[in-house]
Amino acid sequence: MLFILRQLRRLELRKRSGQYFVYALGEVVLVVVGILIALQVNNWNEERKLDQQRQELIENLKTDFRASLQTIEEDSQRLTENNEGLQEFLRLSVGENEHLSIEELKLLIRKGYMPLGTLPLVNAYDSAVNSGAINLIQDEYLEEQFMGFENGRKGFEVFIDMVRVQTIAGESAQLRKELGSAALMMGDIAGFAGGGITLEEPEAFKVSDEAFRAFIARKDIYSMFENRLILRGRVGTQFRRMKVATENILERLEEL
Amino acid sequence: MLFILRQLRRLELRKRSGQYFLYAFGEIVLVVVGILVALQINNWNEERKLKNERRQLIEKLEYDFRVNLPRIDESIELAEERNEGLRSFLSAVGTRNEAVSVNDLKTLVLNGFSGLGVPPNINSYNTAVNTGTINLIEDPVLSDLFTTFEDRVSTYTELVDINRDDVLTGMSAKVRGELGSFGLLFPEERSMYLGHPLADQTIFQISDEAFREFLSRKHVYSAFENRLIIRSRISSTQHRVKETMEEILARLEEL
Repeated sequence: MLFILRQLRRLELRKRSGQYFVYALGEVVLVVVGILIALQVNNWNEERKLDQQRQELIENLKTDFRASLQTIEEDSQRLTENNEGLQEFLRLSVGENEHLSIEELKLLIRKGYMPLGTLPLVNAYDSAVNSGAINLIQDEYLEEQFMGFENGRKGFEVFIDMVRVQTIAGESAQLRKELGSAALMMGDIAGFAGGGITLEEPEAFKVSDEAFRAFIARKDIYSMFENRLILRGRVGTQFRRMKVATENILERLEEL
Repeated sequence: MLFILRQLRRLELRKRSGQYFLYAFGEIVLVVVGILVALQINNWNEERKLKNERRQLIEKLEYDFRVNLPRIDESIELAEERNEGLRSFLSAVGTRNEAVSVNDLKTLVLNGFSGLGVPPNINSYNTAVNTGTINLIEDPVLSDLFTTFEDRVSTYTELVDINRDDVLTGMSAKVRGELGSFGLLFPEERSMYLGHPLADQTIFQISDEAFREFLSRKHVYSAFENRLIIRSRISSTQHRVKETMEEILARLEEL
């Protein structure tokens, strides 16, 4: 009798542990499903955030490039005007220029030494490139235009440096050596090239009007100024490159 | 009778499996909620850490910019004083002013060759840029200012290089070549130039008249004028760097 009871109990236990395993398996499945769902929710949330970031980035880029377009246009306009003055000087320096006073001629030369403008600021773009956030915007056309902008910017820096070197150590400096002073070329200069200092015309080196006219008519002097115009013209070209790229970028950003 | 019993058992089973599904659903919801809460806590913690880091960075930057500001102020003062001296030299030479003695001329011209200070080097800023932590400060105004700052510092550095080239290989070096030595251009107490005394080459000594005549040559004058042009550009760049540093400081204080 006892034996039978024991057998029965064993059966009962076995049945219970079998049930337990079924229950445990079910529980594991449930947890796995739960985790997968949670991950999915998290992913979806991350994507939503990325999308938000992307939208924000696009807005920031728009503000950036709009502002830089404005400075590019202003600087480029000023540069063109100054370069036209220099061009006018070149035309007159070897030709008939008696109708212009020496002061007027010097004023035209001075245009060739006016500031060239500044590098446009596009911080949102730069920091997006540095942090890699720029990859949020997958757009081939835009990438191409960004590249165009960067090339313009690099070119701008290169030519700005070349103009600076021409003034301080290059051809233009050689010319000054002959005259004795930059002031004799452009008149008394207050705040020369943003230097904040006044250059005076040294009395000792003053030349007659005829000598000045003869001086600017010389081939080497003409080619120096021509070179200056070429360099400054290149800066203008970089401005135009940046302008075109900026306009295209803005147009595309509006579409996104 | 048996039929009814069977029906009852089926109902019972159905009820049980229904209960089970309810249970299973509850379980899943609990797991999902648990994980999301954990992720949220983690996020929140990360953000708190970033915020702390950001605060620390701002304070460090503020300190560094504040420490560097008086240095650039000193440089500006020095540069302006020296440029003014150089300008007086040019003015005296340009007008052939005999009232200024040769020794005074030498003292004045030394101004054109003395140091102008060095571009600011702000450690915490450089480190933050290199490690990318600078991006923690998400402030468009500040990031504009930082760009302007870098731009101006790099112009400053470039001008310092141009200045050096001018002395060592450019127009000034050629003038020196004609005289034979810097030693002839500067006054007796010139010895501080380049950190060690220049030998006094008496063999190259020239009379005061010859010295005046030398200075009044066009290419010599223009070499000194070139120094003034470069140095006054440096001085105005220093002003611009200082301006930007002040703006950066003001902005950092607001944050």
